[in-house]
Amino acid sequence: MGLDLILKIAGIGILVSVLCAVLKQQGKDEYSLMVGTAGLIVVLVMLVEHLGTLLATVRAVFKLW
Amino acid sequence: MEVLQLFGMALVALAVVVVVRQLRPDIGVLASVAAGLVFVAIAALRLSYFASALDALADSAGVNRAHIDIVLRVVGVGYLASFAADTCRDAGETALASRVELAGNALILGMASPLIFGLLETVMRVLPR
Repeated sequence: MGLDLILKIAGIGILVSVLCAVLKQQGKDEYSLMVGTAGLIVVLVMLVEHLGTLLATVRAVFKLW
Repeated sequence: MEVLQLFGMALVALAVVVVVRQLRPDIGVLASVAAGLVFVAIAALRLSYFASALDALADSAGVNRAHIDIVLRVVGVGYLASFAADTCRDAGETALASRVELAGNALILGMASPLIFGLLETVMRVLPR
């Protein structure tokens, strides 16, 4: 844990936006949309993993359930 | 100098989130959630020391463990609910955020009701009829 998660997400975001721009320039709008969705899903999966860790931590600290 | 570390991390996270949000708003929201996650994880880690200290204190003072557990649980629920509500607010869904807060408040009220009713019962026992 640390800043590497945020930096990773930022890298994916910048990469996806550049790819989208290039694909759109080439006139391949449908591929650009797909790349955008794929990037979003990758980031979401990364985030869900860490959210699970957070939930486990909070559950352990506050004896939630 | 953990504070300085925290300060630097906050600034880096802020810069990253602002840049990503301008490039792609959808991934920007996720980046801001991730940034929040990092800081909440740090806070939870620190709070765990406090929670165990509180447990030890309650044991030595002879306070009922169930009451301390309820207090801790309420703090955890409030924490998670405010995290979710702030995430919604960041994404521009203010109405959803206030609904989430309402649901969190209702949950907290339900969890705290044994304490509230216990207090009221004690007061009624003490008061002359």
